[in-house]
Amino acid sequence: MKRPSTSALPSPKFRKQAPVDDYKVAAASSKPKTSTPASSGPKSILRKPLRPESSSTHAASSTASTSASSSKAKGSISGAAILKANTQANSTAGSKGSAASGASGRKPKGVLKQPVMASRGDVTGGMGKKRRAKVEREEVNSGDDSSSDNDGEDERESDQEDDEDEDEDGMPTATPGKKTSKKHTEENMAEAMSKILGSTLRKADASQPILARSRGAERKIEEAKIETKARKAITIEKRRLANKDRVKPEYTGMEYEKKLRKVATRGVVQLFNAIKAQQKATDDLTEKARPITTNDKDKVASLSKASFLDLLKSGTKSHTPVTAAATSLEQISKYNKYLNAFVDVADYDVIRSQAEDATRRWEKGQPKSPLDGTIIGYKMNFCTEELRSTCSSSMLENFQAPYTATAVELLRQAGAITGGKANMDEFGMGSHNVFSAAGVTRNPFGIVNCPTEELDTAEGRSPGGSSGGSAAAVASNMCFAALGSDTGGSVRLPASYCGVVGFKPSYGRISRWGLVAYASSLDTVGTLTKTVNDAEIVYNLISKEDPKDSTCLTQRQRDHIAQGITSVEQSEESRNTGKPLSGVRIGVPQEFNIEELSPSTKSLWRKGILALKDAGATVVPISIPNTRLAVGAYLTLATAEASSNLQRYDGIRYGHQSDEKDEKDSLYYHTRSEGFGKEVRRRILLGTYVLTSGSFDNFFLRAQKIRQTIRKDFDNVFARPNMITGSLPGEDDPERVHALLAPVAVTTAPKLEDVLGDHIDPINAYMDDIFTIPASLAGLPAMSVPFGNCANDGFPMGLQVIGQYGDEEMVFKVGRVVEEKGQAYRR
Amino acid sequence: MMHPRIPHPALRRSLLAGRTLLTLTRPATTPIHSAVPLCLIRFRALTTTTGTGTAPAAEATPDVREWSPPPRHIINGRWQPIIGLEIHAQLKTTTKLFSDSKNIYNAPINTNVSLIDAAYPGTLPQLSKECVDLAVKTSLALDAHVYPMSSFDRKHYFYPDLPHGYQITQHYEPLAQNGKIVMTPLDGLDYSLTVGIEQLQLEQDTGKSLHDVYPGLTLLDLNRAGTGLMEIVTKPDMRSSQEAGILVKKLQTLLRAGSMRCDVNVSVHELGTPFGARCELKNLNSIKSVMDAIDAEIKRQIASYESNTPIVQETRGYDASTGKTFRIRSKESAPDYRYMPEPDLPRLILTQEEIHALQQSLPELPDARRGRIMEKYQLSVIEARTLMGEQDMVEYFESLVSTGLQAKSVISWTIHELLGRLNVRGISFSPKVVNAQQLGSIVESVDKGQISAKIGKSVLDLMIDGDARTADAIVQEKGWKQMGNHAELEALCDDMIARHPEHVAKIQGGNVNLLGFFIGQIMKDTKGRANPVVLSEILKSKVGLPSDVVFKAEDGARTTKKKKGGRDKS
Repeated sequence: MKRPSTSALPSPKFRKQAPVDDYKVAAASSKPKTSTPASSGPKSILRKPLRPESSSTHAASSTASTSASSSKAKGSISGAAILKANTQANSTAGSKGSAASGASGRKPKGVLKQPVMASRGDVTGGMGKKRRAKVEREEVNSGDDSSSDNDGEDERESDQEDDEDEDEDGMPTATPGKKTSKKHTEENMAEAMSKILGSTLRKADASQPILARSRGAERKIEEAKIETKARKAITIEKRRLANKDRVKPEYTGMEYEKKLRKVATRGVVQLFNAIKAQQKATDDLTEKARPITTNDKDKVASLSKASFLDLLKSGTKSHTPVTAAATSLEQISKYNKYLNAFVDVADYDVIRSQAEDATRRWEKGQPKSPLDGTIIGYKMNFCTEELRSTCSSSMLENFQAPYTATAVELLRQAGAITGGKANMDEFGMGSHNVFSAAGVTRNPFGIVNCPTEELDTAEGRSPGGSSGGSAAAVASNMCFAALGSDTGGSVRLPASYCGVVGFKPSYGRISRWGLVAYASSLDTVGTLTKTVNDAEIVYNLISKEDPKDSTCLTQRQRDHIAQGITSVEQSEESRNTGKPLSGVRIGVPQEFNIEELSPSTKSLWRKGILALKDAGATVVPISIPNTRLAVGAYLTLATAEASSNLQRYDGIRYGHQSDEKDEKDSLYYHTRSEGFGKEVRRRILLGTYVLTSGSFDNFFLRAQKIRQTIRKDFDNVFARPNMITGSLPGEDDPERVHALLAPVAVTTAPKLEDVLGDHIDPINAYMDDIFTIPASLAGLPAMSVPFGNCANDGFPMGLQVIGQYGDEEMVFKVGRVVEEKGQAYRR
Repeated sequence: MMHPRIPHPALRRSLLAGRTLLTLTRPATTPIHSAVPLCLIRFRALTTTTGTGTAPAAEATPDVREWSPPPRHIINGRWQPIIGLEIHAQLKTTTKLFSDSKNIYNAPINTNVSLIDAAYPGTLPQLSKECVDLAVKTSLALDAHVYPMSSFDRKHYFYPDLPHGYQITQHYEPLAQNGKIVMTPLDGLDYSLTVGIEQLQLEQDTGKSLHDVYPGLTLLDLNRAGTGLMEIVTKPDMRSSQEAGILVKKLQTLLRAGSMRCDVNVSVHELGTPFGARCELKNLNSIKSVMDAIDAEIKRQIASYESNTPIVQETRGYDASTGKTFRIRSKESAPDYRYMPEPDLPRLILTQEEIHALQQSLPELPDARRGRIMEKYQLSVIEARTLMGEQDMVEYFESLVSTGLQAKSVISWTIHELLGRLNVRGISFSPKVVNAQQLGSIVESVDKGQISAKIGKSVLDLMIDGDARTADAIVQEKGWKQMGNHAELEALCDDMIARHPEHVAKIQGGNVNLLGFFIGQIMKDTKGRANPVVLSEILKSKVGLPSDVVFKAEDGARTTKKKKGGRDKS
C-alpha cells in the first residue's frame, strides 16, 4: 500500500536535473512486475557485474522491482513495502532494525529519537539514487534519528536501496491517477523542495543511522509540504545569519564558487538542525557507539597487520616472499571478483617464481632492497610493458604500453613483483572509483572476512578514488603496497576510506614519466601502503631525479631543498621526556573546520590533536584563509589541463577508433564520444570552456592566482621555508608550524549507490576532495594515516598530515605518531 | 628505444607545481640570475592577445616603436599597403625540439618517430639544448632582446598530423622580442629600411598528411612531427612586395635556412586614415610566391575599397596558377586555439652568462661581414654578395688571401672560374671540391707567370674533375709550364716577324691590332705555354711600338686562346 503512495510522488528535481532518469523511470515502469537485468540504468557502469547471481544487492538494485522479489531477497522481512519506504542509508543503522539484521551479525544500535522527520520517509522514497552531499548529511542524521518507526528495518542498505529503486521505477504506473504528472506546477515545486530536503535525509551520512519511515504517504505529503515551508523560512533566516558571520570571499567571480557557496549555505542550515538534534549524542558518540562486531575487529586487525617486510626482516622462515606471495594470490583469487580491485592480474606462476628468486636472495642475505620480493600493485594509469595500461577507459581498452613508467621501473629494479594493474576512475577523474570502464571497485572493509556466502550481498561502499583499486588491493592484502596517483586527493581519499596509509609526496619528487597525465601540474605519484614505514621505504626507492620528466626535481634541486629542511626543530627541555614530537609545532587549519564536517570526523580530528599533544607537540591554530576557494580553482585548472592532455586520444595511433570514420571531423567525434566515459566527457567540456579565449582570463588566470595565494597561505604558516617559492623561514616564530593536521574526508566511505549513477550532482561530488585539494594545489607532501574508525558505522577514517614543500621527513615523523595513536583508538 | 636524455641545463623548475601566472611587469633591464636557481624572482606580464579583460600591465610597458618612416609606395595617389610577415624557419638541429628522434630531411617515412613524437600516453616533452641555443643565437643575430625567462604554451586544434592535439609554442612569454632587420641599397633596395621584429619563438612542427596516395585515405608521416621551428614575427613595417621579398631573402641568408614558410598580413589604408582590416595570407613557401601574393592581395584590396566594398579580416590563400588570393576562412570561423601554459615544461631560464656566451659564439653577421670584406679586399657589392651567397665561401676566400695571394686574382678565380665552372656542372660550392691549397697553387702559378691563365683554367678543370694534386704537379706532368724565358720567346718573335714582314709593315703603318695575330700564332705554336704579357712586350719593342700601346685584338686573341685551350684539352 505504501508503494502506490510513494509512487505518487513526483521527483521534479530528478527530472529537472537528469532527464536520463526520466527515461529510466519510464522504461522501468513499463514492466513493473518483472525483474530487470542487473545492469540496467545508470548502474550499467558495472561492466562486470560484481555479484552476478544476486538480485538484491545495490549493484543489481534495479532488479528487484516487485515486493515479492525483494522480500525473497531479504528473507526475514515481512513487509517489503516497508523496506521500500525505509530509505535507510546506513549499515550500522541496521543496528536499529531488529529482525533482518541477524544475517549480517551486526549489533543493533540504540534507537535514536526522530522527532521531526518521522513523516518524511516516503517523501524521500523516490530519491534513492540521489547522491547527497555529505554536507547535507548532518541534518539528516538529526532528523532521521528521530524518525523511529522503522519496524523491521533491514540493516543492509543495499537491500533497502533495491526497494527504493523499485519504488522509483514503479512510481508512474503503480499510482492510479496520482500526481504523477511531471509538470512543474507550483505545488509540485513545493513537493520537489520537500523532496530535496528529504533526500538530504535519506542520503544521510553513511556513518549516521537514519531512519526515515512512513506509512500513509499521502498524509506525509501534506506534512512534507508544511514542513517545506517551515524549512524554507528557517533556511532564509539561517542563510542570513550565516552570511553575516561568514567572511566574504575575496574572489567571487567563478561559477563554481557561487555553487559552492550555495552548498555551504545549505550546509549551515543542516548543521544547525543536526546540532539541535544531536547536541547530547555527538560528543561521546565514539565511546557509546561500537558497531563493529568481533568479526569486524578481526578485519581491522588483519588490515593493519604489520607489513611482511617486518616479518621478513625478523628472519622468520614462515614469512618469506613466497609465503607473502601465496597469501596475496589467495586473497586475490578469493576477493578480487567481489572487490574488483585489480583489473589485470599478473601471471600467478610468474609471481611465484619471482617470489622464489627473491626468497633465495633474502636467505643469502643479499636482497636487492628492503622491498625485494614484495608484491606491488600499480594503478591502471602507470604504463607497464607487461600488462595493459587502460586508465580504466574504453579509449585505451587494449592499450599495451611499449615502455615502462620510471616509478614502476625503479620498484622493479628493487626486486618488487608486479601483482597487477589496479582499477581506477577513468583517467583519474572521480572520487569513488565508480567512473571506470572496468566496473566499480568496492571497499574491502565490510567485505573481506565476510562469510563467503554473504560476499555477494555484502554492503557496497565506495573505496574512494581515483586510486580506489590500489587502496582496495592493499587494504585486502592482495599486495604489499600499491602505487597510485594523486591529482586532487586521489591517493589520500581512498586511503582514508579503506583504512590504509596514502602518501602523496611533494610535486616533482617522483618522476611522472609513464604516468598517463590527467592534470600535469597537479599529478603526483603516490603510495598506498599498510604502514607509514612501508610508505617511506617505497617512497625512498622511487624518489629519484629523472631527465625524462622536466618537472621532476634534479639532484641539485633536491640538495638545495634539503638545505631548507635541515634546520631541525629545537627540542627544548622536553627532549628528555622522550616524546617523539617534542619541539614540533602542529598547525590546525581553522578553515578546515567546515560546516559539512560530520561530528564523528570532527571528534576524530580532535582526538588526533590530543594524540599529537600527548606526543609532545605544540598545537597551534593556524589559518589557510583561502581554503574555500581551493575546490573551484582546482576544478578549473584540473579540467583545463585534462581537456588539453586528453586531446591526443584520437584513435589514430593507438586506442579506440570508431567504426564510423568517413571524414576527419566525424572520426574525432565518434571516437571520442565512444571512448570516453561520462565523467571524462564532462570534465573535458568544462576544461575546454575554461580555456576558450573568452573565458581564459576569467577562469584560468584567476584560478592560477588563487593557486598562488593558497601556496602563499601555506608558506605563511610553515616554519620551514619553501625553497621553491623562496619563502622566509620562521623557525623561531611560535605561530608557525612544522606540519598540519587535518581531516582527509568529510565522512567515511559513502555507499556506492550514493555515488553511482546519473542523478549525482557533480558539484557536490567534487566536494569530496575539499580537504585534500589545498595541499595538491600547493604541491605539498601530504599523507592520509588511518586513525580509528567512525563511531557510527565502524568504517575506517584517516587523518591528514601536511608538510612544507620538500619536507617529507616531517610528514613521516608526524604520520608515525598518528598511526601509533590511531592503533590505540581502534582498540 | 628511449635513451636517457640530458635536459637543457637552463631548463630549471620554476615553481613547484606548474607555472604560475602573475601580472607583474618586469623591467626589461632587470637581470635574473640563476644564482638562486629555484627562486622565481619576477614574472613577465601575461596578457592574452584577445584580451577581453583589462590589462593595465601592458599599458605600463612603454612602447618602444621607433619613428615611423615617411609614407612610401603610395598607389593611385592615396593607398598605402601595410605588410607584416610571420616566418617559420626550420631549425637545422640534429634532434627534434622535444625528443631524441633525428631531424633529417627526407628520411624514409615514419622512421624518425619516438613515443614522444607520436604522443603516447604518459610521455613527456624534453627540451633540446641545441634547439634553444640555435634560437637564442638567431634572436641575438636579429638584435632582439632575449628574455632570461620564457615559457611554453599549448595551442590546441585537432588534426591527424598533430599527434598531441596541440602544438607546443611560446604564446604568452616568447623567447625574444624587439629585434630588427636593416635593409640597405646593398641588399638591392633603393633606400634603407629598418623592419622591426616583434618576437621570436620556438615551436613544434607538425607531421605531414599525405592525401589520396590511396584513394580516400590519408596517410601520415610523423618524421617532421615535433621538429623545431622558429617563428619570427615582424612588425607591420613593410610597404611593398619588394621590401617583403628582400626581407625574406635576407633572413634566409642569416639563418642559412633552406625552406621557410611565410604567412603574410596585408592591409591597405588611405593615407591619413587608420590602418585597414588585415588579411592573412597563409602558407607561402617561396620568395616569389610571397611577393606575388602580396601584389595580388594589395590589388584586390584597393579594388575593393575603390568599389566601396569594405575589407573584412579573414584568412586567405594564394593560388599561383591564377595569380589570385582566395578566402580560406573568415574571422568568425577562426579556430579558438585555447592557448594554455604547458604544464609539462618548467619555464626556460637563461642566465646572462649563458646568453653572453652564445653571443660570443655567434659567427660574424652578414651585414658586418659584407662591410668588412668589401672594405678590406676592395670587393664590389656583387662580388661580396656572391661570396656570401655560398656557405663557407667567404672563409675559403679569406684563407686563400691569407696565404699572401692578391685578393683581386683570388676573387676572380674563386667567383668566376671556380664557382662559374661548378654552376655549369650543377655542383654546389663546397671547400672540398677543390680545396683551398689547390686553387691557391693555380692562382700562385698564374700570378708568378709560371703558367698562363688559360693553362690555369685547364688545370682547374682537371681539379674539379677529381684531380687532387696541386697545380705544380699537374703542370709538371702535362708539360704545361709557361715559357718564361725571355731569350726563347725573343727567338720565337724574331722568327714570326721574319715570316710575316707584311704584317710588321702594317703594324708600323698604324694597325696595332695586328700584334694580336703574332701573339695568337705564337701561342698556337707553343700550345699556350708562352706568356702573352711578356710576348706582347717583346713584340712591341721588336716592331718599335711604345710599350703603353694598347691593341684591341688582345681580347680577340684571348678568346681565340680560350677556344684553342678547349680544343687542347680534348
